[in-house]
Amino acid sequence: MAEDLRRIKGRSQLRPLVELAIWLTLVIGMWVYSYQFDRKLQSYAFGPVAWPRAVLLFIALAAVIAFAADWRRNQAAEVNPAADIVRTPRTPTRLGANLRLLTAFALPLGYVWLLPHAGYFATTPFFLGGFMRLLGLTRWPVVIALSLAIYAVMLLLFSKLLFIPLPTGNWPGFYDFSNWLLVRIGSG
Amino acid sequence: MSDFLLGLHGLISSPLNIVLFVAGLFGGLFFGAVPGLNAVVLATILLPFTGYLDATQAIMLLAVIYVSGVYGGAVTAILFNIPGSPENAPTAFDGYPMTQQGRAGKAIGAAVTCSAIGGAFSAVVMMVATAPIANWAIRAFGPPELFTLILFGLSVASSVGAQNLWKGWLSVGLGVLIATIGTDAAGGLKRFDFGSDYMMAGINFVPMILGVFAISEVFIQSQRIAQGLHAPPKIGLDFPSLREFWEVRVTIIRSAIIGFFSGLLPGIGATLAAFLSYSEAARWSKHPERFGKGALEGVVASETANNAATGGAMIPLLALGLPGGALTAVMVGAFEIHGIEPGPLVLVMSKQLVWVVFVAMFFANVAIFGLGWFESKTIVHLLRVPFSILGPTILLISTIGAFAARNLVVDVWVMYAAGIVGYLMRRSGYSMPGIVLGLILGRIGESAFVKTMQMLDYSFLGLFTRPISAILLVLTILSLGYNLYEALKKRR
Repeated sequence: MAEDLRRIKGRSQLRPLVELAIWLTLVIGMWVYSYQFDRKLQSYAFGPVAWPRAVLLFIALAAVIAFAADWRRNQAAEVNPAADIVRTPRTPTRLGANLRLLTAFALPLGYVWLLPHAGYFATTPFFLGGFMRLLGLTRWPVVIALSLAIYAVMLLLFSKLLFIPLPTGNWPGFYDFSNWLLVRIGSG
Repeated sequence: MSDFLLGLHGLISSPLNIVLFVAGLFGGLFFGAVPGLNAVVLATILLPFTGYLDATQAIMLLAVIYVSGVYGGAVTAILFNIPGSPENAPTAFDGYPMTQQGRAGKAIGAAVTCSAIGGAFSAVVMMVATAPIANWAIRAFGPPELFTLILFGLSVASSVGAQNLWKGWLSVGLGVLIATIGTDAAGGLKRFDFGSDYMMAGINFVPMILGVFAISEVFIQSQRIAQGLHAPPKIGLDFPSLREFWEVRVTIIRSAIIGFFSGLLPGIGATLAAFLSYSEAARWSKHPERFGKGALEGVVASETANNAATGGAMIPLLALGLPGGALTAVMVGAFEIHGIEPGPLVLVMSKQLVWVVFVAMFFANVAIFGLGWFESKTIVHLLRVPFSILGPTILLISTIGAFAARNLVVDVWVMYAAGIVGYLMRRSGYSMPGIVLGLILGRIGESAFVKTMQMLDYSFLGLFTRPISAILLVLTILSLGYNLYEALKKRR
């Protein structure tokens, strides 16, 4: 109980601080950058910086108020700690869950990085299969079959029916494969 | 009547129009119903492809998706406690408890019937009222009125969808800040481009919308799966009786009126409509203690209002060129793709387009009743498809849609970055609709502000010398003050 209280209290106090830090960093960074385009305009007395700086000031004010409100709420929770304890389910695979979530972020980003290099046509089935596995589909024959089926439907819909140009890649071999496939389905 | 027949003729004269109407209807229902998708996602994905259609077909398709999608999101709100769209959030307050009580069919039946009633009512009013409002708008609305209207819309938008008022303000502020990237409205100078040609063109709103809505939702569902919190839905198929509908007739009428007038606001019209209507229904109910625990009235209030808002939202879009919500913001994009500037002149220059859209929306609302009943018996079972299959498909379609907007991989990077940021912000209680509306209205707002200041010789007090802008400024101040008062009252 005491350990839960310390853990939750620490996390509750840290989050508003982190959010405030992020907002103020954004505000300060963009304010400093705004000097790059701080010019006088003949047609408009306020210039190009007035509007963005007004928005930045508004964001800074709102961020400080949000932080103050969260801080006061946390202080009130310290007075009445029992009411603030929310027992989140501590699953034994919490670390595993976080790793899976990070992979859920990384996999699409890796896919996007590969798109201009290896092309949409060569990478997509692997992306589909990988993400299905990540979300818990465990049987490989099912993963492969579904990935290919969805890939085929998208290919027919977007490349053959709608003629949407998709990245073909520029790495040796991949560009040739993409064009070969497009010719085969009749849209190249 | 002749205009109605003009629109009807335009709708049925081409087989492709009918195909698009039916496809939009089913597409909106399906996308609205599936967790992780909603009508905005479908509209955004289709937006780049609407360039291949003519303007009438493109806008009609998006309008039908709008109407059916607003209802479609009620299904996931009721079955999974996951609103398909923000305007379906109040539906979940009572709809999900009804599912847990094995009354999902009654909740869905009430949602489909009341959506049809609210939407048809607003479609009729829209057909009658858009032209008079447009005529008035040309004479009465200049840049000062436009600026103060946007200010009012943003002040209302900031109070809805976020964990608290301050996070609502921050969400809207972030959207407005992102809108400043590119070039300034007065002199065309580069702003926040960081030396990049891509940034000089501004952040395209298609990947932003896909990121903050679709991609962030996939990440949230992925997290639930990773934590073992994802559960399949229960489905019960009874429809509400006539007597049950009769008992909530006053709620239906009140919610339709609230919904329509809320939809007129160029902010989060349908979302505000649903929340306002829900709170008023609870206030006036004989049994307010039942709200939040499975009261049919709660579902009725929310769904009548959010569909009634669809017609209301089309009026500022067509009469003033201002989007009433996220999906109407996508429609602005469709207008731009076809080289049409939405505004009062659209009613004069593109009369058939406007009336085809009106007629299509009316019949879409009528069709919702039949299709919604059909859907409650059939398509709902598709929701048993595991998210492990749906999730990657959503990501793939979104990737294609983001790339297809401008054939730039950078747009796909922007989408996923927006998705990750959107996921983190949603977990922290920020409002995604607020960000998107800030992005859309911020651009229009700054342009209107520049012209206003030039007109009024840089005097802010000049805004109070014009009756409409003065009223809107006062309403903005009152709205902010009221929201502040409510926020401070909650803390005590």
